[in-house]
Amino acid sequence: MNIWFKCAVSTSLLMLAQASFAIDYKVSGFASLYAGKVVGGKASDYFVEDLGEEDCPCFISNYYDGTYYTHDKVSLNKDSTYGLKLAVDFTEWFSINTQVEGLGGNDFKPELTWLYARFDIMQNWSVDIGRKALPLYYYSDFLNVRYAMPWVRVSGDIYGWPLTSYNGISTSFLGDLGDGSYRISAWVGEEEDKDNRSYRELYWGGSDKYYIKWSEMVGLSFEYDYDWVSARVVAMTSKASEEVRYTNDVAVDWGYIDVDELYDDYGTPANGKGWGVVSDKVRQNFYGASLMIDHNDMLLQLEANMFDSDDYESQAYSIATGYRFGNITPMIGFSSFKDKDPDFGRQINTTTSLVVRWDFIESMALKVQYDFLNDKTQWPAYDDGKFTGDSEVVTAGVDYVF
Amino acid sequence: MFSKVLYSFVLVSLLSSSLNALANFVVIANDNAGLSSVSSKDFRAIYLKKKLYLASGEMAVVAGIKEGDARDLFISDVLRKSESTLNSYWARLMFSGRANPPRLFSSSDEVLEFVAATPGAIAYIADDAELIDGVKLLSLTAK
Repeated sequence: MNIWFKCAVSTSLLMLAQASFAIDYKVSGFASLYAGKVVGGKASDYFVEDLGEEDCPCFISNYYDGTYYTHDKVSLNKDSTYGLKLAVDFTEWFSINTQVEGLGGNDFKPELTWLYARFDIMQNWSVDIGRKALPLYYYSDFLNVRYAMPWVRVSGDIYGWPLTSYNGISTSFLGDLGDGSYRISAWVGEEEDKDNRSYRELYWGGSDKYYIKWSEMVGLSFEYDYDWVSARVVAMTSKASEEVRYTNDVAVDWGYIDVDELYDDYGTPANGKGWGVVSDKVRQNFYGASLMIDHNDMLLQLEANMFDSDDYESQAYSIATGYRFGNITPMIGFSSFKDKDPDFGRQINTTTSLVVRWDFIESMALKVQYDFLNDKTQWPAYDDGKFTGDSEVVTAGVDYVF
Repeated sequence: MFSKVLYSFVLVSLLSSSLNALANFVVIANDNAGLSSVSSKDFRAIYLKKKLYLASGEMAVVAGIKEGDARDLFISDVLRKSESTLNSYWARLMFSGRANPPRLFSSSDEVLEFVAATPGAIAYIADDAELIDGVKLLSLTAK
């Protein structure tokens, strides 16, 4: 058991043993069912050759979940999600929140995304211990609650990091400023994923498992919320360790493991582990900002971020606008991602999205979205130099919350 | 002290809808909250948890009634949102662990009892409810 869980559980039990309380609890949940299919584009050499995907052109639906649509069939398991949340208030100053979520990339198996104990030190100052969503982006805290966003999904150009939760301790301080309120949050912690679906499925074709650990995580965010505008800035630093395990000779092609070291005569890893170290505690920094405007039914959403580590850097931004016609909200958005990777080359892509949301009954919304991804990637290892290749996808489905 | 809540407490200048519509909700607060009036803008910010404190400096606790004309008017005229937009807004706050939606009660009488017993409480109720001890009727101003 992770040290943060031990800390949260033991502290919680201690508090419960000493407190006299009346338990107040609330159960809530969400679910989305989406069908989608690639309707146009051009397959990339990378997806066909390295990932072995014969049904491209393909469109990555969720980087963090390692899922993508293909052109050969309608898929129901790429953007469909569900979640269940239990919040228990033991006293005015102590509560426990937990949430499990199921995603298509993991065959909808329930995964623990939140489990933390909250201590309200003061009315406007709280400390959380345990597991929480990693709050890098505007939508991070409710990434899979599709009902709470106008889109079918968050833009992959912006929301491209492979980890979405962390274990640690965080604190938030809230106050009023002018006619609005502010929130200052800080967190420290770490996250370990022994088999990361995002990198295994999308970037390390042929790998059997991909291990990621972000340690020494320190983050800080500031938000200001005024009537019709919300602004947020965030920064986080951490150290990344990554290892990859292969079951075929792709490892050799990438030069991380010598073929003689990888397998013995019986095809089992000769080095006893089969893991190749990709990075070892490499410092990485993230900076992000977002501006959300909702005024007189006009919507404007801006988000941008930068990322850098020793030898890698990326920049991403998105801009979207829409108008609410009663219960129908059409939006148009554009997003861009660029990186510079010493091993792969440069991944460059833009996505144009159109969505119509219809809140047809209370707590349910119907959405239809069209996305066009323009791939300008420059990966010299491939004849066409592309990552996914251009692709067009249509997705439609229903969101529900209770 | 009991008194009938009259719609004349609501300032006509506040709302863009008809006078008949204005009659359907009023704003109340805990008697010790130190308020006699609240602006529509401030109540919107407080109700949506974009503002934490009442003008008196007390931490706000918001409440209201679950359904009915009074609620419909409150949502459209003060919050300036539709029911579905409001649902989506609370889903965002709730599932991110930031805040829970306000306490909603089946009747104005229940809201009155909650407000009377809760320091810092502020709420909307139907205008035909009778006030009880510990609750103060607020005038709702446009600014």
